[in-house]
Amino acid sequence: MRTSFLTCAFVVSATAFAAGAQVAPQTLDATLRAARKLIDEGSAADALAMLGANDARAFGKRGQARLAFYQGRAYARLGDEKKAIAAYEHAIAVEPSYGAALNNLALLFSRGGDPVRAAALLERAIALTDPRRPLYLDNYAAASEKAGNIEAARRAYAQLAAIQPDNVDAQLHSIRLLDDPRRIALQLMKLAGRGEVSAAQSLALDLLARRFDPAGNRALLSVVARTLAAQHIDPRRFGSLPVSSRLETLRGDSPIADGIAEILLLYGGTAAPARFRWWRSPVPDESFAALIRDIGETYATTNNEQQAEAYFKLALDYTGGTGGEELVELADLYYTQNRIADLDALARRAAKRDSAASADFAAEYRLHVALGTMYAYLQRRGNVRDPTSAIFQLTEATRAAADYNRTVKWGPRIPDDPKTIELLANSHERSGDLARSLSIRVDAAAAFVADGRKTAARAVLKRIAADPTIITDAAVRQHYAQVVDDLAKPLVIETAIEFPDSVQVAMSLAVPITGSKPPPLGNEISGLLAKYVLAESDDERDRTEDTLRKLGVSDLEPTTMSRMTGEFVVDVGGKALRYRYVVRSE
Amino acid sequence: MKQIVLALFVLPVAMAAMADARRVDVRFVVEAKQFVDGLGSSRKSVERAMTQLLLTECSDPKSFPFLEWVNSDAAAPNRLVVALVEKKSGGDFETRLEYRATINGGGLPPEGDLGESVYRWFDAKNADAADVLKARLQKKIHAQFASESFRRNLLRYFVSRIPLAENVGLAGHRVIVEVPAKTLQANEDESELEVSFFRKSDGQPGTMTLGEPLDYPERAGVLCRIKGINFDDLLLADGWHPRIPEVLGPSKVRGVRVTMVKYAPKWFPDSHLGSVTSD
Repeated sequence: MRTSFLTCAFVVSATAFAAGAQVAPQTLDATLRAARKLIDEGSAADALAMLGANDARAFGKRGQARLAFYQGRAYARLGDEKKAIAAYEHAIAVEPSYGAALNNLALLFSRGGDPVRAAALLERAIALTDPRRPLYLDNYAAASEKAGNIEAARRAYAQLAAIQPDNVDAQLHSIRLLDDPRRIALQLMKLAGRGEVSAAQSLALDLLARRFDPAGNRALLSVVARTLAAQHIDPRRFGSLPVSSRLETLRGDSPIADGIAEILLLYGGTAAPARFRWWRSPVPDESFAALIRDIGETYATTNNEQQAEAYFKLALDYTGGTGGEELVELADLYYTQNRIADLDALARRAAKRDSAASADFAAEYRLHVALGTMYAYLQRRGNVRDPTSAIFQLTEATRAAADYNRTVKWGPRIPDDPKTIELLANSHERSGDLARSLSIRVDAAAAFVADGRKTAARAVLKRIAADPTIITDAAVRQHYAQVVDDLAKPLVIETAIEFPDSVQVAMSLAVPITGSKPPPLGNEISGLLAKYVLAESDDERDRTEDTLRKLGVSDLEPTTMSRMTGEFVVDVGGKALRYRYVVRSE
Repeated sequence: MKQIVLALFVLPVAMAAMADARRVDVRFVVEAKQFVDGLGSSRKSVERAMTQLLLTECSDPKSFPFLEWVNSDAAAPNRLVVALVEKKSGGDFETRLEYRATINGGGLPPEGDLGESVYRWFDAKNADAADVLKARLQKKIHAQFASESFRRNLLRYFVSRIPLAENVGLAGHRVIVEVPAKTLQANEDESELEVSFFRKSDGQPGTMTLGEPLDYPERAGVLCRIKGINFDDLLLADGWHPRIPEVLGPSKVRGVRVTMVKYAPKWFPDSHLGSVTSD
């Protein structure tokens, strides 16, 4: 030992244990602490010597069990499994509810090739009220799986995943052991949605190698596409990433070979719509649409505008022209490149869309605000009939917001935006309709005041406040006076939370088939769908979804942000049928 | 006794002082002019709410619970400021989240990988509505911290540069880091610590990577395996090199810092590879 090093006081006492194994009387806790220290440092033999120097009978039952536990640990550390097992068994014989000893003994059995016995011990451990129960559950699940009791393993991992929702390994195990690949895919999508993208992707790729039925493999490949989109991978780097080679390896699997080829094609820079068929059938897969969009966005952020445009156009083609996000991205691209003719064509195309079909009013609102803002900055004010104008687009935005807010019973609504109001009112004024401009301002200000947003109200009234005489209409003037009066009053906010008195759930077959009636469980499914849609927490929603799954409902996919409409698949007379649902709360 | 337990790099630094070094003052600020003007006096409520959210997210077990995240502590040596900023885009401004860090008084440049768009230039911003902005930011920030890749980037940019300890000791062929396992909450199989130091004589820098930070309550720390060393021509054999005690003696090195370079949360305390280590 070099003299310049400082030795520590505890080293001296540890050395004393090692040297003589005869120690002065001390408390049990101190003995066990010192033994544990020796085991941790790799001096298990010294620990055994020290533990053996104590008269176990002097410590009572609990003390005897604890001494045996640390002897078990020391023997295990020395690789003497037989003696370790004997020590742990002694600990359990003295104290049958000794969770730590049950656990460690079970691990020795499991490693020694007897997972059945291990699982039986761990079953006893998890029945205890013990803060280490999550560890016991984890070990129990592993032992059960090893013993071939997959259902018990799955249940235990699911319990652990519920106790530790952020424990990704527990989540992955509980998903991995599901038997239905579509359920696996659904759970992996949820895991990815909670941020664990790499873990979800890795398990999906692992499972694809197992080869399920074609629909199952398709669902898992969809998870891969979705997670790739969430990783925002630069196409130039894709080839060097492990996921690329893993996909290449899976290309030999014929049911998904074409799907993989199209992913690789996409990253290879090809955006010709005709080259992408697999993902469109039977209906365009939304995960692949997200991947196309993401690659387009990556090109846009790296200033490769030509490729970005090609990918956004591909995404638009892929979604049948209904994709609001693609339209917004293309509009931004055209605006920044000053390609006004292309922007106009896009706005006309957007106006022709059947917005009711998607019922996604929030996306609709965002698209109209974006186009309206762009036209306002281009000073293309227009009118309510011209889709290539600020007035048309911003008016449509107001309509979409109102439509959305009508469908939402609680939860966030689309609020009026003072800047959007300002742009709309200003456009009307500059296009010569001052009266309309002023009434928009006053109406919006009244709504803002009612919401307690006085700053917003003052902002939209600024034009009038500078010269109130510009209001010529008596009714508007009176309304303005009322708003000004309200603005001067102290703010009082009353919030009424209304819960629906009744809920109606309508279901219809997505593909009508003569003679196919809703399943016998229709009423129960309806009730659960209502609960699912109106759930006030994610946990409650997840529980309801789980119950629906147990009733045979799979692929539950809301089609709107509010979840009021959506689709699901259920088995009817041996056939998997896709249903649409609409929940209306009164 | 065969085991040699040595205190290396021993400095007269109290544990309390090291706890200070781990302290990070975190706060959220609204700097985007549109929002500063629009929010007026309610800006403070947004900043308070988001600061509280950041404190919760940063100290969450899956994030970085081994650091002491605080707010309004002017004495904290480290700072993380998350700012709502705006930058010219299209016809108006894009509103973004920007992460800026300071370690022991030294500022790091903002990290692009951590930034996030909150509103594009053409989006309805509702710049006056604190509740609308709070809901939007809450969703964005929560989603960021939920993302494993974001946490990895934040660790690389900032967290992995904050010293957890300024000395280490040796116990046999293992290294003791005097930070309690309960503080680190680090999974032994996946987490890694890094010891960086300089040779006193010529200032030559060196690093040592430590794995398996096992609970070592006797020294209120963790006992780690040496996974790698980057100093002189030392090559590890079986996680050890006989020159390590000589090279790293307290009279030979200065500027010792232990940092967390790879972190995975430990879900089952007082256990190792499934076994209970302490009853």
